[in-house]
Amino acid sequence: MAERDTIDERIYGPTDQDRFAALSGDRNPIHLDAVGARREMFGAVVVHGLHLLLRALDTLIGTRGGGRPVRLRGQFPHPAFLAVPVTTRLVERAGDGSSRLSVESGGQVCLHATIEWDDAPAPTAPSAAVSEPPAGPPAAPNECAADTLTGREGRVDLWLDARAAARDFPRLHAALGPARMAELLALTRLVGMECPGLRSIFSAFDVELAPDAPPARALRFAVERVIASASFLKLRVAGGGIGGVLDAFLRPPPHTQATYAEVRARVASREFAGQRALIVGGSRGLGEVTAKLVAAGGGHATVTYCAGRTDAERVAAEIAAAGGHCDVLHYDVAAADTAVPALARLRPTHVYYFASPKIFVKRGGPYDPSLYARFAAVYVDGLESLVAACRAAGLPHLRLFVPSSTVLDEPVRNLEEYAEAKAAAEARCALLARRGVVVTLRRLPRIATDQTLTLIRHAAGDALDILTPIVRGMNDGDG
Amino acid sequence: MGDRGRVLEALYAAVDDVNLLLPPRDRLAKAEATVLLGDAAHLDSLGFLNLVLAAETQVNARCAPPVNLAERLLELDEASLPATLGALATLIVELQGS
Repeated sequence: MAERDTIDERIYGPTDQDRFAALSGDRNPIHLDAVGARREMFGAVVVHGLHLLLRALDTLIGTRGGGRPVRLRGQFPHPAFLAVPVTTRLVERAGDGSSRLSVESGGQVCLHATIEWDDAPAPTAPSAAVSEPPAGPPAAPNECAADTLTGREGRVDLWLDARAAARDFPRLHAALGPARMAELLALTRLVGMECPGLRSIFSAFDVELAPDAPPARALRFAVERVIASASFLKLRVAGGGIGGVLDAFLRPPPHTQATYAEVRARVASREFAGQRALIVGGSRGLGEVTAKLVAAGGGHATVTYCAGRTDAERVAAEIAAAGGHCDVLHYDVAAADTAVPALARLRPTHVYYFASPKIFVKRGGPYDPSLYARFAAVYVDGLESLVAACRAAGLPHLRLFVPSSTVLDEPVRNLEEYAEAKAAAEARCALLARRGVVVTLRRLPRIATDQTLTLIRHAAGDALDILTPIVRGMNDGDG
Repeated sequence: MGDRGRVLEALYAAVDDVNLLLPPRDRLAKAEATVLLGDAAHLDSLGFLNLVLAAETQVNARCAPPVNLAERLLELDEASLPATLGALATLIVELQGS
């Protein structure tokens, strides 16, 4: 019988993340740290994949009126994000009694799973006790490098906060018992904290659950296959009543830009001495490199941040440590007027506008007006507000750099909203120029930054190579 | 059916597997011209890797000799990777013969 029933709809928030992290022990920062996650490949905090699975199982047990899952197979092809509705659908109930589930969010499939069931009455003997969660502060995740994965094996201690498990997954906990719950929860702790740990993407699972097996003290694991070029690994797991395989990827780390020492080697020590530069979005990426260029050339840089204060302070500290001048300023493009006093004090002569939301976003349909609105709010409205704030700060003569994109010359699938917002920003720049702002606008190619992180080796330009002539050109406004 | 035909059949089975993981608008057509990578592609990098892993499983289940497809393929950068299903089939046949 083919079906496509919605069995659950919910929106995950930070409290859900904290609770599941505490229950599972998977405290990988990709699930908890909003500021750090914005620099990662997915650009935002990601809901634990196993949380989606356990939630779906718990709901499905209620829908079908009981049963115990005995085999779970599935994949997490796309992350689910906070504050975006997540829908669980029963795709198919097959003749053999198995169920096929699809968990979808933002127009993407986040989990596709097949569940096999045991509908025999639950064992009447009480389950043996499972260890309590360990005391003390939680450990930080391991960071396994790709070249250390081959042959790796080990064990993850099994434990469970049974009260929290019964609270959050009452039907699943009742059906499986504490030992199997502890083993299932250990899967995400293994991938997210142990192997490969910090840089993991939990991709797929195929595990069997033996209902009556006694509890074990640990889940054993062994890396069965590594494809270094794909940052892929397959783990075999066994322990207590669980056994099977897990797939994971290693995601790339945030992109590291040129050091201040490398930048200093490119420019003359006084060539930007006339620039008192405000670099909006200067805490990382293109803004970070621009700040280093200006400072290395004898200018004074002020990098702004919205969320990444630590990143901005790191850039400023690196520059200051080598004798350069760089300040840090909190600046929200949506509240530019609040920065007027700071702008009046700083009196920038040059403004570089690198503010940007996450660019590569999977959308739910052929065109997403809300995505366009998100880009335009920064690229168009934010730019206008910045100029207005500078004027209000008594800075009538601005030299402004605005990055546009080559996607306007060569369209890229799934970047239509981005391209449209960049086109609107170009039009706004023309208006600003007519109002006396000296605007330098360049269509930049794909450049290696956090925005362009990918699992496949992809050609991308070097920020220092591309920005050096631009900052030189800004000396006399011709960019 | 020749080697290439069997490989294509295996690739189409892999497409069936991967399409379960994609929303309807992004599903891949079972055709040699289907674009896998580049500016016109439906797949992101994670989706492409999932397709390669599924293709390796399906090809090795149906065709001999087995190929270490994922390992060989993903040593390449994006510009060198086969951009269509047909190009991927050609590469697999070459790998089987080498």
